[in-house]
Amino acid sequence: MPDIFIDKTKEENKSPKEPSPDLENIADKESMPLEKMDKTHLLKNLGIKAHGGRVHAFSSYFETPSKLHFSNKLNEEIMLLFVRKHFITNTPWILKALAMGLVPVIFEFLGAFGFYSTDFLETAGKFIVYFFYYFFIFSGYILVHYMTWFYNIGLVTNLRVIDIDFSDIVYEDVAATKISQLEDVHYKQIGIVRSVFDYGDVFVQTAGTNRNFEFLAIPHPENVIRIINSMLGRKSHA
Amino acid sequence: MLESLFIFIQDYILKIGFLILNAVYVVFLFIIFQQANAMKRVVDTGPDSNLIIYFALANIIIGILIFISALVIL
Repeated sequence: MPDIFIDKTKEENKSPKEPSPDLENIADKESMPLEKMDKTHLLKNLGIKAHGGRVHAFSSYFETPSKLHFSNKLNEEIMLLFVRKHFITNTPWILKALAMGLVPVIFEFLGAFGFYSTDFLETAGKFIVYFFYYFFIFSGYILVHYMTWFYNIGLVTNLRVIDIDFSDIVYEDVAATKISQLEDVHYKQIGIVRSVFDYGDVFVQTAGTNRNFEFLAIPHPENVIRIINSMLGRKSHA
Repeated sequence: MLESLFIFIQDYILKIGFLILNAVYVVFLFIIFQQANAMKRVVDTGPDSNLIIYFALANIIIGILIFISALVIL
């Protein structure tokens, strides 16, 4: 019976195929933890342009805002996305404020035609009441609605997703989760108005019993999905 | 009798009611100011956050001025 054997020495002597330097480089970069990447490299990998500007009073979508600070921000944390509801979602309360502003005019108009009497107040008293009314519209109604929109913020950094909710002046809710705990992200864009103005709801699902995140009516939801998705498969030691 | 009661309501209750409403509203404006400060500590978007705080503070001052004016005029 002939001995069948394999010359191990030959096999061992064979040098394994060395990957090309480019491929090795790409593989290293893709497996590199997010927190260890420098900003330029991270932004390039995620396909984000570094604007580096300031979020202005009516911004609802901003990539890489530079002059934005939030509580508990870590030193190595890089801001990637800043989102609020699309400004068009403010239209209902703006229209209501305009309608409220017309009420005294209508009352005066009706009074001038004798539909009812406005004699129970002197001119100065009437001025004070109307001034208070318009002051209420600006300082109460408009300011409160604007603040509610202004401070309902979603943030995506290289380490975390942060959801800041603020409503009715007295309700504050700040929640954050690590990128490594995210499981799934998807969005819905239903309706003509949402398609025309390009905004929709983004849902971020977290692992286990952790709280899920919702960013409602935010502009360019497909971009948000793309950025979060491209971070999901990476290692993170955060 | 009814007419004098109506004048009393018109002269005092409505005016005092308006003053109370005004005072309560100034308190509400103060809460808005405090919340604007609190939210700025949570997330600071730069000058815009300060603008909201200054606006809220200006509202308190205007509210107090309206209250004083109402107290004098009404």
